[in-house]
Amino acid sequence: MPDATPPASAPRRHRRRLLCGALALLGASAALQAGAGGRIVSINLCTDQLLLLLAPRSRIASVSHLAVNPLYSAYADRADGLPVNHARIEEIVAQDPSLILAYQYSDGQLVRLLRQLGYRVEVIPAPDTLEDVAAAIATAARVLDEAHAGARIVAQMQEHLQSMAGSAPRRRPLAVIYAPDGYSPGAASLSGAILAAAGFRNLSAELGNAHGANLPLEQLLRAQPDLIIIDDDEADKHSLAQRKLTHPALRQGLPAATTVRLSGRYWSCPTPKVVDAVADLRAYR
Amino acid sequence: MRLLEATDVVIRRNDRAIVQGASLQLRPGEMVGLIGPNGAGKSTLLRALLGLQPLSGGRCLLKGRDLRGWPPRERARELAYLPQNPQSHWPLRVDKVIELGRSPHLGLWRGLTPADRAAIERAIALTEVEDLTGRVFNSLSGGEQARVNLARILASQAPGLLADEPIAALDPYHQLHIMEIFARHAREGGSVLLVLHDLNTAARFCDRLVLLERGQVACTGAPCDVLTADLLRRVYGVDTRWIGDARHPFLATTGRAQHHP
Amino acid sequence: MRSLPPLPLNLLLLAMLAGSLALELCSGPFPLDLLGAVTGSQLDALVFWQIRLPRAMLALLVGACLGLSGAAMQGLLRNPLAGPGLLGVSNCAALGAVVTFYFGLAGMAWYMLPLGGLLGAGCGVSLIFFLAGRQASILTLTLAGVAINAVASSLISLALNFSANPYALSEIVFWLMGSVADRSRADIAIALPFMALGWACLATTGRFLTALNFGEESAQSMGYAVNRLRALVIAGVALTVGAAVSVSGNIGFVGLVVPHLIRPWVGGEPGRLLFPSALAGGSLVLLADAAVQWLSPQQELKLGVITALVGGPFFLGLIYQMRRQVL
Repeated sequence: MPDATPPASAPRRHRRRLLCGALALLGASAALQAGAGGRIVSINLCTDQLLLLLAPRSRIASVSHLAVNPLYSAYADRADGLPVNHARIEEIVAQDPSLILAYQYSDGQLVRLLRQLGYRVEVIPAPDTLEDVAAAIATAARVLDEAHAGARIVAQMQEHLQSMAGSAPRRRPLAVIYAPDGYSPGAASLSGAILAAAGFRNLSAELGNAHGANLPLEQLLRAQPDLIIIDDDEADKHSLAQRKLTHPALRQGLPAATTVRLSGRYWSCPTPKVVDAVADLRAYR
Repeated sequence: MRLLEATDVVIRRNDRAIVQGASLQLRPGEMVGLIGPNGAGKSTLLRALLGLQPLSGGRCLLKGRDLRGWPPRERARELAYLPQNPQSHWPLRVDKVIELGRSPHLGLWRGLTPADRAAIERAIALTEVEDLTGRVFNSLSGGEQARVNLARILASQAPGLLADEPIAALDPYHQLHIMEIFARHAREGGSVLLVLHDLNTAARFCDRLVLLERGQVACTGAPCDVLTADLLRRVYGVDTRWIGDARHPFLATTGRAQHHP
Repeated sequence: MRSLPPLPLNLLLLAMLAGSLALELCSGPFPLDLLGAVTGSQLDALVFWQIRLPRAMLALLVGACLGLSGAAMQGLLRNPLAGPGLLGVSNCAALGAVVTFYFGLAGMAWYMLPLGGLLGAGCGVSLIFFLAGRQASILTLTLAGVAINAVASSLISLALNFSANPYALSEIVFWLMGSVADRSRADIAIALPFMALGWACLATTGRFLTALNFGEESAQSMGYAVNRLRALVIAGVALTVGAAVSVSGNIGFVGLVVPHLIRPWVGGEPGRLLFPSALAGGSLVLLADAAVQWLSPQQELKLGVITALVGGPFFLGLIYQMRRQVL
């Protein structure tokens, strides 16, 4: 005859075991993911470069939309086919990232908001010197758990630079970097550091500009630099800022100067490509 | 030879007929008064005779030719216009205002010729504004401005002077002065067409009157023939009576008519 | 106020213009010996002919255009508060120029950029007439101007937003405040034909503008073909303002302030105001640009800031004077 005691012990215990097992599995996989780190999102071009350089594709959830553009990104081929984001909060949250890489120039509000929502955001500082570049690569490597790869890359860079520093410069010619609207980076800027490492004097730095300033055309002409580096990658040339770079006086007033175009993708982010930029520039000395 | 002739003029605006079938002639040597109640279409008809108002029907002839065929400058040498309450926007000097009257004769770049200056001098003398020439027009009194405006249209040496209520805001002295200048112009062979409200002034100075009623000519003729009690009662809605003597007749308004249509 | 006869007045203004031109040519990041520049070292000559002179000439031409068009507009509208800036014509010209420049149309032919400015200015002036009518009170005109300015400047912002160029949006300051920095002879070459055509149109309308003193009907009765001459004035204003704004942005207040300052010296006659306003407008912009170069050698300061600092208080004073007559 059936009495009040339910025959529940067996199924209940079974369910309990299942539950424990599931939780254990979840915990383990979470631990695995946190440590090896999947679903990394980069919201800035420079952090894209570092991410593409240091981490395997499988760990990348998305990169910024500029990363796939070969005009701006030195590692565009590596980014081919990856999902892209536009640094918008809904996009990022939808991808449920385990780590978000931001740059010093990323939107501060966005970074604060992401941290408030509980996401891990690492901000890579922007370099003003070549040493800063090495430090940025090292920081990124540490954050991404790829310290070995980072160290190797930094070592290669320093070796390359050493070899170039070896051949002592005979004289230091005067160069000026001219960007749209006449902007010229000074001593305390990455472009300035590259210029110095290549053995050139920086006109903007000599005029006392720390980070950079707009140089009037007259000032440029009077200084009579040996090398003009035009920093204008933009395909669309329809702006007054860019028109300034094509002023006839620039052509006619500096007949003896060499004009080269700077490729921003090597010059603007902390990657080993800056050393390639130094090498390219040395050729014009 | 008629200077101006309007035949069966019709003017419509916003589907309303302001003037319907009005005919009018203006000959050299005569002063004609255009009278009628408010809204009868007097100002509109006057402007049509100057070519300032397009016609919906009928035609206007200036010296026998259709008014529309006259180039503006040539027309301005025949007809001069003095609108009601001319407003001066800029602080021009009086002599410059009078110079404007010579516009139909001036070239694009040429300055004033001796002929221009003579015409201006004569206009100033006729209107007795010699002391005012250095002053700013906007600072003058009403009577002074009226005389200067009259000097302006006289300076054009146009045979036809068409004025819309030129004496409305003036005191008796200046009213008479202005009317005397117009009368002199007509005596010397010019033609004058005036829109007038004051029936006594019209009666005293005009050779002929044209009475306009709701866009149509109710009567044309000498003042004594037009200003009859029956006609005035019908058109203006007032009772009138001639008082005074033969030398100074006066039309008195005795009251509003009992049955005004 | 005493009025001066034309010859002494114009000679005086010409002398002022020459002085302003000299001052402007001497202004820049470095002291430039004017005499030495014409004969001296190659670099000095290059700086003079390629940088300083084009900048100065453009400031002069733009100032002349703005002064002239302001005088013409005030004469046509019989209103001392009329001016291309206040009534939105300059911003409409800027809109036309922005659309032409940032979307690649300017490169198609040399005349495309000033043509864009001209079409924009033409629309602006026509819109003023459409909104405010021919017997426009000060109130109606000013409101129309406010409306057109608001729409035009927001459309400029919208157009710049749609541009693919990353620098476009920040250049709105140039278009709304104006500048003659870093101009070359090419800018003068494309604008000058249109400016000259505009001057030719306006030069013949002097007597007509004076005749408008008693209204359009009086002017018509004096023998002026009012419709044709009005169209000529509008065309002249559209040409001068359109060409000027397309190469220098919207430099404000010149068209309002200059005719007002000159008017007492010409006895209030709108026709006599035209040429002196052109001369004085040129001087004003030259002096303002010299001030810009002295105050901010790095050329961050836009020309329109100086003209606004001068014109704004002037305009307030004008309103204060007119407050009894305005409404």
